Amino acid sequence: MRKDKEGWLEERLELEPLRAALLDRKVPKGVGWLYTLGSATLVVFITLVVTGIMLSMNYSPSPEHAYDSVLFITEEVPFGWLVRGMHHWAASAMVILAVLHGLRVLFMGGYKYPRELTWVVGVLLLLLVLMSAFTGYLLPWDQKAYWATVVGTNIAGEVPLIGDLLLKLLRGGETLGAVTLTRFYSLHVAIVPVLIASLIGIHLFLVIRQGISAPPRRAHHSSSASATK
Amino acid sequence: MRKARPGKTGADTRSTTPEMSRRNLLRNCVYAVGGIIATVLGYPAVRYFIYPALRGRQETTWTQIAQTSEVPVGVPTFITYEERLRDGWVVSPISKGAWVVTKDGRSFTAFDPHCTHLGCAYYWNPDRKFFLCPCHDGVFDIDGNVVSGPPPRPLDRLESKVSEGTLLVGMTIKSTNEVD
Repeated sequence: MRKDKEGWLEERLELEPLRAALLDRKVPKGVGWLYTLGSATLVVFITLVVTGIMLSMNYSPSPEHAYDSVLFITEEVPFGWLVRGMHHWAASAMVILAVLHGLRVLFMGGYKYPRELTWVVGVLLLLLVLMSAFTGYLLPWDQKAYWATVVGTNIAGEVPLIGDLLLKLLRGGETLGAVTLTRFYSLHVAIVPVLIASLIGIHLFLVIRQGISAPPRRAHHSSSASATK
Repeated sequence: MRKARPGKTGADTRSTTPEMSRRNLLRNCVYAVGGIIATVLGYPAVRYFIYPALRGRQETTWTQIAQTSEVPVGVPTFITYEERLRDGWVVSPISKGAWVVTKDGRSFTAFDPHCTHLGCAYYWNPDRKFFLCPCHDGVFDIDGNVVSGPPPRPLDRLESKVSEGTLLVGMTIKSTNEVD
């Protein structure tokens, strides 16, 4: 199709087969808007990464400065209110979209053979998304953030046998304070996002490699799982 | 398993002209919408990042340093004060001082307390009625002009104003050498 007007890069790198493999995938009949929830989650994740990096430029994770630096972002930096607002709402949206995406896969039976691995990775991703939401909630260091984290870490403390260990691990000590804030910051900006991005890579590889599952058909004995081959 | 269905050739020929295929149209629409979104979001993002470079000189922060009635007339007085220095979200007080001169109790001059030669602290000598710098014997008169010694220019002044009986100072303004 575009062999005749092959570009400079194309001539050297031959990216066309790669592009075709990634984007020109066959899609089973009957898929609709419900099947966009995964992509929507991905877009929201990218939004969170970009706005998160921008926020980290002006945020200071210490008890003395956290709240003031968040106010500084919101009130002083041009469009800081927009960047923070996008991060705030995208965070909620990501939890909601990830859950809806999981429910869609659950109800459509998309987790079945041969896509069990995609499902397992997806469940891990959901847990990491919740972890990200929980750690990010503390960072503004206002009353709501502080007490929500007190309650949240107390819940972790109720886990049988290892509860006390978990509590100290999360708080970086007995009580919630400066160390909790830096630990949560590190988890929120370095550890969890890298894990999420890696698992998204695996998740997407599996989706592209296997194709997406066809919606289940009513009263029909068909091999719906292999519609793409 | 699913092959192209041969029965629907009519629909296929309609959409295979390379310039105007539905595929191309949709792709261009995606590019256009993506471009609009990138522009709308890119502008705030760029502004957010580069604003420190675009911001002009910061507004003067005025600090109240004395009641005008407390400043003795005709005798330079050293007044110390705390200026609130803003650095991002951090506001920190820094100790400062100024030599304040008034000849009539109504108009005031505030001198930066550093000699214009090498920045030493100078003092008022009430006997000789000069500002003297102990480092290299710089001498200034009560208006800040150089009388003798190595200072290259008159004393620097602070922006100052009087508001409701209170003297306020702002930033240091470097003096120019009007004599030489």
